[in-house]
Amino acid sequence: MRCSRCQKLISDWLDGNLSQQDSKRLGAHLKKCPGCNEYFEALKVIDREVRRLPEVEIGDITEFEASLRRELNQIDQQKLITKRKRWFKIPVPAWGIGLLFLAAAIYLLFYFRPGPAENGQIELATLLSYEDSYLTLTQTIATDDDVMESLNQEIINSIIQETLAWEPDGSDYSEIYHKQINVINIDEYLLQQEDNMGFQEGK
Amino acid sequence: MIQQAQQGNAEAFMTLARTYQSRVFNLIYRLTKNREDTADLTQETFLKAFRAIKEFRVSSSFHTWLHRIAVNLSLNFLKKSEPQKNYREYFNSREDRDRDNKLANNFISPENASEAEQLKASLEKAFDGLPTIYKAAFSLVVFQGMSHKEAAEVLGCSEGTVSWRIHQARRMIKEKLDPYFGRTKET
Repeated sequence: MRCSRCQKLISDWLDGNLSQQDSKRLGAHLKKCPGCNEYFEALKVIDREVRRLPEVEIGDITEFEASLRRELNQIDQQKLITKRKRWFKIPVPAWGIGLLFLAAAIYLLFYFRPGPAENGQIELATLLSYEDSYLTLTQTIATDDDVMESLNQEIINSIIQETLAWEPDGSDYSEIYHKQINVINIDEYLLQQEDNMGFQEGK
Repeated sequence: MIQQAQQGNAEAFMTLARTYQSRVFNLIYRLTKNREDTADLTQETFLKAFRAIKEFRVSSSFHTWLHRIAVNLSLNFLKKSEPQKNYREYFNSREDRDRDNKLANNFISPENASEAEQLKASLEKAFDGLPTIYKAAFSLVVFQGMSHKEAAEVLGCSEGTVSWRIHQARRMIKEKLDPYFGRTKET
């Protein structure tokens, strides 16, 4: 081992940064090299004395800490001001672009919402299902005379009710007519009408 | 504590600062050798750390991170404030050489009771005159007790570079103090 290499290993040894293998090699060289041995001894003294050098104290620790605290608080306040100012510092074009995007977003939201077309489709489906139900119902009714009669009666009643409610301008209907209707006997009413007509024709 | 400081808690950061301020102050003082500059740079180190603490990753060492800020600030400050001595200038200062020889003569004298003090004074002078990059590596490992690996993280270089710089620093100090120890013969 060359002495220059040995001196480098001595330095590493002093720092506790030498591998076991290099330590052995260093030891072997030191045993046979008085120059390096002398260097080693000198460095040990220097290292010892260097480590003994007194630490330096911060003069006025209270003032130092107070000053640091003041500076830290200033940084805190600056941060707050910067955060507040950021909103106002946004340039006008950026605001404009932002608003444009917002308007576009609102327009798209309304444009793509479920429209009346879809509702129409739902209504059509509903109507078709009603139609099916109606056909089934009418077929059922057609096979039952009692139900048919009852239904007819209901329809007539319904017509009569609507007719009573309907009072066009001029009120062409007489009180007798209303009374007759109020009897709610459409058969009699119709027969009466037929009789009247026959009477008139006969007349 | 670090996490609280990262959330902007100035008091938590002050507690951290109290823990490290003495070490940071000593490290910077070893590099600048001026109390006022050291106080300013120490404060600047902590302020910079406070501003940047959100970027600090908790998985790494806060101690190393803080020292990196301190060393960088100090090296930048020294780069601006004073020209660096090169190797030749370190040894060729006639004034220093005369003083060391005088001190060495006193040191050798057995009657002198202040041998150790004189050696210390020469040692400090020898250390102060070292190139800044050697001083930084030496300070971190010898004065701050860091491993070569930690010092390498602080200085942003390899462990080998740290080892080499410390070796060079020791060699230069030894050479400067040769009057005390006698010149070493190399083979």
